[in-house]
Amino acid sequence: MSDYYTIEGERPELAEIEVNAPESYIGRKILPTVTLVDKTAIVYYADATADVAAQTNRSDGSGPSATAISGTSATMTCTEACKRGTITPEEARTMGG
Amino acid sequence: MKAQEQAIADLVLGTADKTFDPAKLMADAQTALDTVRPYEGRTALIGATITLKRVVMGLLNDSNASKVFSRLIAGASPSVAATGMNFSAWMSALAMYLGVDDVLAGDSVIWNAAGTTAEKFGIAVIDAGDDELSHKWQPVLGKTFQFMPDNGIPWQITTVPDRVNHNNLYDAYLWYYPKLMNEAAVYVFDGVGA
Repeated sequence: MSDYYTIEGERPELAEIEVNAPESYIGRKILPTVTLVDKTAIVYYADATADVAAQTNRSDGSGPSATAISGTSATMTCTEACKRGTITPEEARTMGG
Repeated sequence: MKAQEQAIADLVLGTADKTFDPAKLMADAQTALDTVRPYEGRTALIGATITLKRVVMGLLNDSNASKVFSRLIAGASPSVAATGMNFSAWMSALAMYLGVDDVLAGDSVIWNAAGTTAEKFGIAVIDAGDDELSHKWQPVLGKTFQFMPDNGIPWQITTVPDRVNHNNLYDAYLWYYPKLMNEAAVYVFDGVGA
């Protein structure tokens, strides 16, 4: 019976197949993807702010005042979406090999 | 991927700024464009395919807007008018009429979902997406953060042999977090009835 089970465990070769988003899906054009190696992080990003006046003088021995470029931050947590597919042993018998 | 698309749609079209009125759409669209002007990128009209079609129908049914709008679709000659009524022409006409760079027509089930995105469309500024870190130094509408530890592969796929029910099971996992960073970069209309 075990002959009719396919490979067990991780399937990196399946994971590497490029997935084409369905043609009418526009979400990733609107909010482009940023890849992360952590599921939870604090992201810093720029918002539309008024122009900041340049500093024209400073005290001896002190540096210019800093203005944060990515002035806003938020905590983000990736949520999981999963889907399970099934191939029965009966179907595996007809798949050749 | 449908769940991800739905999450993005809910965020982008979440809060309405204006009720759709075909008679005033050209002026209201200009208000929207003025609102999103501080942000960098291309302007886009975003909505479900069915919603955008209803916008077109609303314009054609309005006594004043229809004259301007149908002229945009028809062009200069009847022969052009005869061939110009496919959906691509409708989208081009909307882009010309409203003064946006692109029209993004989404899946009607997702972008016209009851209770969230139904009867809504928006005008937004979106960046090209070719720079993953553009949100660091320019105000963009938002990004979708995706957990990809393995060289940019979004999926974790595992085979699970089910010895009880005698099946081969394949589990695919995806982790994502869409984030709207500058809510003012999108202006949302609602009330586009059937």
